[in-house]
Amino acid sequence: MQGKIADFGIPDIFQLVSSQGKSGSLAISGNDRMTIFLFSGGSIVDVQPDRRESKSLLGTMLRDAGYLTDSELKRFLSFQGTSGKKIGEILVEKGKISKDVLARYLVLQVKECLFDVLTLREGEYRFEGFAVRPVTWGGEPIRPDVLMMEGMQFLDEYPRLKGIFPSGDFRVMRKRGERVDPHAFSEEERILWKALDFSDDPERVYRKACLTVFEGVKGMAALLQRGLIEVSAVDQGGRVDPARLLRDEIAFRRRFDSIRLALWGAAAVAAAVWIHGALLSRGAFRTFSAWVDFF
Amino acid sequence: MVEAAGPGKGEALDTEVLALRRAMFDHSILSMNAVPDLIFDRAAREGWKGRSYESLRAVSRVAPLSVPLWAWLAREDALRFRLEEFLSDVDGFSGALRQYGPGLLGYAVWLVLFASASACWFAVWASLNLLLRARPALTSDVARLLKGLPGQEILASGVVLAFFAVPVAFGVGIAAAAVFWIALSAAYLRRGELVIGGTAIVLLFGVFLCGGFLEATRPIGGVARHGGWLGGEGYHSRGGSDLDAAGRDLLAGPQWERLARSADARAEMQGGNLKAADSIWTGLIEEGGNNADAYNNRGIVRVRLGRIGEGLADFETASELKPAGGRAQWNAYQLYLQEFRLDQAARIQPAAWAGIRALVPFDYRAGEMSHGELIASPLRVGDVWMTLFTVREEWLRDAPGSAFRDMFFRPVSGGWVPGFLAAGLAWMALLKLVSVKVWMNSTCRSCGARTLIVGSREAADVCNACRAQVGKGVRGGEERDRRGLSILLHRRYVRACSVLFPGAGALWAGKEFRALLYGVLLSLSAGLLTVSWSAGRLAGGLIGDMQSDVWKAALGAVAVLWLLGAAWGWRSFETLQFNHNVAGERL
Repeated sequence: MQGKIADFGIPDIFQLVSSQGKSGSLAISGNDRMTIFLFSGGSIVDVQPDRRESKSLLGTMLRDAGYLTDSELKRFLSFQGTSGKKIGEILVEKGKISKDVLARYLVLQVKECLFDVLTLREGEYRFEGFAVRPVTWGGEPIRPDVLMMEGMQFLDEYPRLKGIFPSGDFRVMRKRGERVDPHAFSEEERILWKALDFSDDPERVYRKACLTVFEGVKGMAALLQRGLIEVSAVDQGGRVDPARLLRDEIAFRRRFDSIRLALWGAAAVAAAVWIHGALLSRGAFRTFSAWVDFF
Repeated sequence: MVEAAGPGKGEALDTEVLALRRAMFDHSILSMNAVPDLIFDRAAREGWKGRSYESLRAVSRVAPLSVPLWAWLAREDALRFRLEEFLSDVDGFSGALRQYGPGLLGYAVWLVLFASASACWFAVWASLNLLLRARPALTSDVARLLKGLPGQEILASGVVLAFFAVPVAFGVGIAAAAVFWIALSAAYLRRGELVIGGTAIVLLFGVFLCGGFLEATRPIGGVARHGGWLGGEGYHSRGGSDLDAAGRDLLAGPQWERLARSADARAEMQGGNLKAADSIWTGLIEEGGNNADAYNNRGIVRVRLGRIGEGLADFETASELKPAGGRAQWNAYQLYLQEFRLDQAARIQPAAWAGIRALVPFDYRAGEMSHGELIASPLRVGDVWMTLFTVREEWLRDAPGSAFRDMFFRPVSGGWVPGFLAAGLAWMALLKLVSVKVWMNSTCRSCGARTLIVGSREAADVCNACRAQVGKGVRGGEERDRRGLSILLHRRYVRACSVLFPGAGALWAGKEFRALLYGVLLSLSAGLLTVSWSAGRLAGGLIGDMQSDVWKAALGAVAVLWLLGAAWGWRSFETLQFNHNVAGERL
């Protein structure tokens, strides 16, 4: 089954595959990107985002959420290339994340990819049927009709909610001195509020809270309207990769420590000269050789 | 005699030695200590120093009280593996030390100077190591004080470096700087390290007192070599001792007073003022006490004055008071022979000969004792030893004006030094108490991580991550990277400290008491270097020659101990890290 999105909309395609309990892969392409959803018995069991859309890649999401460092991610990706295993499976095997965490982030990945393809107005789709057996390390299969309802809500509300925040990059932080009642929060708000400890970059806060961008923006808007957070825009030039910041800081601390060590070394040499003057100089000898006179 | 000495001139020298010995007996002189020094100086000047052994061995019979001569001979015997001669020379050395007042004084002063120099080295070693041990945590706490300023860590590092460098830059005395550094470090130290710091401060008080001791003793040394007070044995007397200028007022006490008068009498005897000598000896005998030596010497004086009977009576009395003395029996035996009282002479002959043969380091031979020689008694220098080391108020009184005060405690004025040291100790105790009641930084000994803690600092000087032996096994991300960096920098710092300041690595590894022992050994070696190097460069003669060897050996010992300490500290710290799973090069 294949065709153009303009002729047969994305929601209809997902509805059709789900209602008929199909198994196989649904590839959706548009905007120079291709996303592949894997179905088993009409439910989504996995997704493969386009490699060029790094934000939706599982490794990147886990790195942004603080489960991995840059260097670890690179190492696991190279290991993935040689072992042929999927990154999530490797991470669970290596004990970097639990199966529960993996399952939650797989659901998040599916949602992000689905919301992303829902925005496509032009493109193509192709469904290939084949038997799919869900992997043991993955999460529960996801019913597309449930996701689709959230997707429709996303299409309706996201533009409005996005408009509340600055158009470019921005930072969020808790207002100082605000007293909050956690029971007054919704689940999303509560998770977001907690994740604000992690970073002031909203994208990383969403990832830490394991929320889609839409869910995150929605929760963040609610917190903003309650006056619990502050939002500040940053110019594009000021945006710096946090990993790079850390690398720079480590390099600075190494340099600083080397300079400090050198200064202490110089001070030690000065002290040695000073001690020599006190205990081994000609002046000191006059005192320390007093006993010679007695013999 | 000095001209007669030299390689291959044994016979001529022996003749001169015999002639000199006779002259010495005539003047009741026991030893001519200047002779070996003059011969050695000539040998050094003329290039036969290495072949001067035979000449110096020969003149030991006219200079038996020369401590440097016996020491030099013993050293040569040791180097040439002559065991019998070596043991004999060690006996001579010991005998000279026990009977030659200035030698014993010099030995005592040497001990005091050696102890002072070692104590100063220990204070320097301890204070530097403790400051470097405390530096990371101290820097963090200074940074807390500078909170709000830009680059507070850089500023704090500069401030702590300034704490170290300012005393050096301003040329403060090493003892004053050491106390300052120890006081600065006290809040961050373990109990064992506080013991090291406290020991250093107590030792510095000892150095201060040693300064007083030297100040009280110094004037005696100034004149001892020139035939003055106590210098009579072996030097040309100027007809009387320099008692007022050199000793009587310096060391108080009845024993010292008695010794001073004995020295007066000996000087008068040697100068030929027999009536004056008789009067002094008589005065001493009338005061009571153990007067065997005084009776013997007065007997000699009276025989010289022609009062043979009185002299003989004195010798008999001395023999009764000190039957194993040797000298009095010999002198009585000589008089009996001269008086043809052969029965009496035969009665005491065995004891007389046995007695003078046992008078180490004097070497009296039968063939040379046939001219009626009378043997005088030397000063009772055991009394000098007792008097010297009796704790006296003068030590504390003279200490503020001593050379040590200026050398080690400047700019603290003399009267304030005891208070300054006491304040250092009190400050240490106070800061330690305060540090367990307020939040302060602590540095993990294993990985270098700094933590703000309060309460029992000793129990928290290894961080939880190291206790759990997780190494870098913390959750991935910035925390892990920072921990790796902390481990790397800490390792580099402790290794540098271990090399530059041996024993530092052992302190980081928690081996305080072994480090204390190591510091004592290192300081003793360095103290020996200080005292012997100074003499080797300035003294010249026999002493200078021997001290040159000593300082080379001391320097070797310091170098070896330094290397061993650096390796030990390095390895101890590696082991500590290994035990906490942060060892290796997996960063």
